[in-house]
Amino acid sequence: MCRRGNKNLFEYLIVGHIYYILIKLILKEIKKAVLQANDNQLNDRFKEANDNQFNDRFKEMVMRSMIYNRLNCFPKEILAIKLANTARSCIAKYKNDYKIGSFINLAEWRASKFDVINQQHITPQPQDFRTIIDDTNVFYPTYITSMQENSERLTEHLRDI
Amino acid sequence: MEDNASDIDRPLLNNEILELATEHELPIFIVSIDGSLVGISATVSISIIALDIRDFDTEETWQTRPAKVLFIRSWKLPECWGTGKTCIYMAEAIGFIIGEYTIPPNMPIIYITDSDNA
Repeated sequence: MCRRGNKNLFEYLIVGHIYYILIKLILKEIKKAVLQANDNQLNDRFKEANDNQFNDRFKEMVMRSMIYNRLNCFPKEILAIKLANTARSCIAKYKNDYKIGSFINLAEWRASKFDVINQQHITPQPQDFRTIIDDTNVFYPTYITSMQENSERLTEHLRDI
Repeated sequence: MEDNASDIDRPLLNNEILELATEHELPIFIVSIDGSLVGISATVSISIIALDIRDFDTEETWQTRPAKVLFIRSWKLPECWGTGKTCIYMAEAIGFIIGEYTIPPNMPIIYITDSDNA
């Protein structure tokens, strides 16, 4: 294979890719642990990706150091508590990114029927705007489905608002 | 059916906006997009507008009358998104996305914008 460009970049890409594979393995193990806690019903549980309870349990588990201690992921390299804290901040960012992507605090104004019928000159006033997307109806992604699936669900969600 | 007072003094419903925006046999929606800066925060607003054509209009006299604003959606962007800062151009580009989610699918749309993005 022809190796061009920055050698450091190439090496970092390999390291990054291996790190990504390791993270995938860890997440797979956590999924399994959640499933085992849920009556050992492995087959169907994977299909219930949108199940809120399952999603919440996954989130709880991924943010605890216990699972990383048990898996002994990066012995003497990265502490389990560090991995748990990183997972916590990643999930917070993930949720926040989707909140922004689903236009949280989008405001809406509509002309009144009266003004339109009476052909009034309409000047929208700031106090007449109402927030149509807030914490109660913003899109929340699931942690165990792909970005593709989450983004498709986000699109449907926004279409319905 | 006649509208009573309580019914008439309310915001337009979706179907009413649809009818008003496409009256006079207009087969399209006209959506205007504009961005602004408040301090360092970018904001984008999209509006559905309708031409103000009246019964007594002769020929093109309606063209001198301002269009009617029927509906507005406005969104203030966060100051940072991902690893970068947001800006007015980004806001105006997002206006198209908000427009797409606002207008019913398969409706032809004319977007009016003064953005440099265009």
